[in-house]
Amino acid sequence: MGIDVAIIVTDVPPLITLAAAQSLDYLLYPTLPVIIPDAVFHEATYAAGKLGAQEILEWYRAHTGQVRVEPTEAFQAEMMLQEAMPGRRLARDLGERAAIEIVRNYPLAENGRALLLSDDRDVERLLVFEPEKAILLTTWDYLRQLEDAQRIQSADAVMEAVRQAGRDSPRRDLWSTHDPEIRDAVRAVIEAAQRGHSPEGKE
Amino acid sequence: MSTATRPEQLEILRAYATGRLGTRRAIDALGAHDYADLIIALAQNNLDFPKPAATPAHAAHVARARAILQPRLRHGH
Repeated sequence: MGIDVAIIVTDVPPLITLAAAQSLDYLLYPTLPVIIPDAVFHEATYAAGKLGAQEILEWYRAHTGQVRVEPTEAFQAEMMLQEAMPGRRLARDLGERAAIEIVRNYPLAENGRALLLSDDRDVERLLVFEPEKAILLTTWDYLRQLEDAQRIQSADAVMEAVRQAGRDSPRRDLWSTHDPEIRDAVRAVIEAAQRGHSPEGKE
Repeated sequence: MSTATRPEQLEILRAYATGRLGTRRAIDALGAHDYADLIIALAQNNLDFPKPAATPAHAAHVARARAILQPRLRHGH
């Protein structure tokens, strides 16, 4: 039996934006499954000290019942390439390819809908496969829905919190190095996702 | 990105903040590493985050999302 409605976070900006504002729990408010492609999760969390990375990792660990990191063939193939060619940078479009894979394969019910949370204006490409099932929403749109339902005081206040976090953030040269502890934690999450379930949703 | 924002980088940030440039292209054009860099650069130059363009297609998506989200957010189902 398929899922009626799910939130699929199809790129990194919504995660980093909400993490910077200490507001990741807002994703849980509609009590819907929250799906994050493995490549998106990796991109958002792999660097130590990166804005929001630690918050995203801890938030995921605290909510594994509702939040799932979904494995993709695109990310696994990229990881194999990296092992073969150490130091190779991840492909720029990896997150998008992983998201497309999830959108195509996620086991929605016949009348199911996927809320695709994305701040990338090129994301319309994701709609090619399931235009009637996919609903695009930016972080701003999502926050406005929360505000309209009086679940948060103000979408603007959240964005102001993000701005404040950006102003206070350390410079890149202080946080570009990879912390082995973070790197290992991210790897463990993704390996668990690969072991635990497939993109088809089989446990 | 370097600590100081050069004029051409500021122009790219302004284009992003006013919705004339997409996220991925802005990151690439800045020579930034990722979206976290972009947030920091925007904030440190006192620029706003872009809002989605008010197109009919966008409004239709928001309306569909609203129909799903509002009952759940207000009543839990």
